[in-house]
Amino acid sequence: MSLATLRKRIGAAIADPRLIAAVQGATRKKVGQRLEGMKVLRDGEALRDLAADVKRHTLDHLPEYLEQFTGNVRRLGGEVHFAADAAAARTVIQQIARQHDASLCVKAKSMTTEEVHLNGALEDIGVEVWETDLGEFIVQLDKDRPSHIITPIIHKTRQQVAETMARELGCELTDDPQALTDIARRFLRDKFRRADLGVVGVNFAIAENGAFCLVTNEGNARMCMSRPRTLIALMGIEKVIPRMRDLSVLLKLVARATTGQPLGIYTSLIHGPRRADDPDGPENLHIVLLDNGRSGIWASEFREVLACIRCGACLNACPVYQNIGGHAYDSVYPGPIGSLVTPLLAGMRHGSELARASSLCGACRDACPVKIDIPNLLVKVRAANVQRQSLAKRIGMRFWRWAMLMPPAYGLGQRGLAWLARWRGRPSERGDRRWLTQLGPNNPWMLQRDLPVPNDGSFRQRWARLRWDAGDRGGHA
Amino acid sequence: MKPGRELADGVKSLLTSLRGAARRTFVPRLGPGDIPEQRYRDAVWQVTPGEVDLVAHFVESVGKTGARGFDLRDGDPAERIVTLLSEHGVSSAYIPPPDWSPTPKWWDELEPLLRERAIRTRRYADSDELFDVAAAVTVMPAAIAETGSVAWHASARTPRLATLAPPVHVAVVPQDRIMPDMADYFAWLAQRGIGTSNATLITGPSKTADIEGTLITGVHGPGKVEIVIV
Repeated sequence: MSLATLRKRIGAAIADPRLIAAVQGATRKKVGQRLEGMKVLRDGEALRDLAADVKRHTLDHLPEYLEQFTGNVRRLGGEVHFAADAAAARTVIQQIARQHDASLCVKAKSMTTEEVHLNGALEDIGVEVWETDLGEFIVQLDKDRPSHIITPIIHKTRQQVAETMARELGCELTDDPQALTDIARRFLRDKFRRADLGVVGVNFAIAENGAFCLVTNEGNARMCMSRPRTLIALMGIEKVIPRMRDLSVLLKLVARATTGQPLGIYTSLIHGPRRADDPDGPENLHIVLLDNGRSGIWASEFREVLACIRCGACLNACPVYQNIGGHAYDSVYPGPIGSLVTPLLAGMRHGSELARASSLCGACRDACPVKIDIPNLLVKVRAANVQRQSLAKRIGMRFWRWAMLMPPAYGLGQRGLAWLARWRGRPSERGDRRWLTQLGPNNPWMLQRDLPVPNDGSFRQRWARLRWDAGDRGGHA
Repeated sequence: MKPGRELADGVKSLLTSLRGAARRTFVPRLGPGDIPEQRYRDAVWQVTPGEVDLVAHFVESVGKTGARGFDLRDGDPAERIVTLLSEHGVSSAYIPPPDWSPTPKWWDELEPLLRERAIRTRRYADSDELFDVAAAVTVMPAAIAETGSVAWHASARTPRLATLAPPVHVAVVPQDRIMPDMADYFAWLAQRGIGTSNATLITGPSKTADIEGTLITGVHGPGKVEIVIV
């Protein structure tokens, strides 16, 4: 991944009006829903402040809470494993699947399993894998990738879904969402009945009692956790929280931030494997703690990033995401938080250019239920990667900085730009709005941007004139 | 090789490396100690008892989730449950007995009434059978007025799938089990050490809006949730 390919992807996205209309419509609706949902709270700000502090307190004491959680899970009869990176996570989960002779796996939606590319690894050892969240199921059928962490097929129209399902499942072609959902339900019911392995993610893991919490709307995760004999939960090490009272704080925000609902439809607490006399539930419970770059983030100035509860509010609120969609980011984690998580999880080895695909407007920070200062952190990622910029750009920026700090140089620049506009023959009168683009075919900065044609005279000139005029009038009075 | 042992040590090495990193790096912290309890009291609770009529508030919240709530404290729960099941055209119902004795009058009346309407009943069902029944009538251990949620706890007599696999779910909520706020429920659960291997809050019918944002109910869980307060 590089800046040039990022530009190409953005170019491709904005050239697809159907995609952009779908993403804009869905994200703006969700922004409205979140605001409505937050309004119902007595004091939403106080709750967000508390949630932010709960996450930061937990991160400050992460080793202690992880140890407590691990101990409690083991006391309950569950096993806890550790995966240092994506490859280790795949190996551990393959081992568990083999250990319990699994042949059919049902999966709930989980960002961590996307992150480690789990499905292929299970298929490699002969396990049939099914995504059971409706959106993820369609993504799987279409061999596509999710483009939003909550709404994976935000980029697809119902016609595209209909074509995929008819082609892959051999069902009748219908674009009625109800009928499509029914087809998926029937298909997956059979899988749930026969599955012997469930794989889920974790929303919150509670240190004080070893339970973990999972929130879903469709009920597929409940199926994955109820029916198969073996359950594997893959969680990032940052998912732990201290107590049950902290769970109330975060649950009151997570669904609101996502869809405006006061609570997801199903909020499940899994407290160890099934008891001896339980009629259903997993006999074998395995929790896999995933590092994959997180401990590096934890030990850095970017620790705050680990407070993220993956609600997707910052994606919906972001004017860049709204206009380019998720695939342009080419990462499991798109949007503003993804532009931090992607390079940071990779130890800045790739993805740092994503931090520049932001206008730093702050809409993400305002939307974040745990108040992560995303714009500020994006700037820090940029600063940490200055050496990756081209020499020409670095020299250009140096010059810009010098000019901005020197009023005469700045004034000279303004006059130069005004002269340039006149030299271009007053393009606004020719109806030509993209005047800067034409300055050079190889000017990448201008490929997707343009400036309005400047007025005659700069602000500084007009300001000086205004002050002069005001001073004149003052003199006569 | 036993994978558990070797990997278990992995957790230990993670904790060691995190602790090492914590000593080496300076990261601004929130400050020592816990967050004061008072902040939770001030910010978390949305519904406080005494301020609202809990049953009325619960019924109103249930309505917003897409389920229906019926206050039958002074009505005939058995008759209403049968009417609801008939409305949805179900042919079979799973009706596990509530775990207190003697069983309430409405529950004793329920089975004969259902048989009269030619609805097959079963008091016990295993995991496979639950995939084949059309409806479940279950007594819930707790409910939340703030969110309109009902709680389901797995136990020997209460399979997880009972409130998940059948397409119609009638949840019976004894009036004294309604708690004002979600935080009250989790505080209660924490106090009793959870006491179940699976506690689930159900807040309305199963939903998705994955296809073009169109709201569909009844994806993998029940599409119809009826809540009867007794």
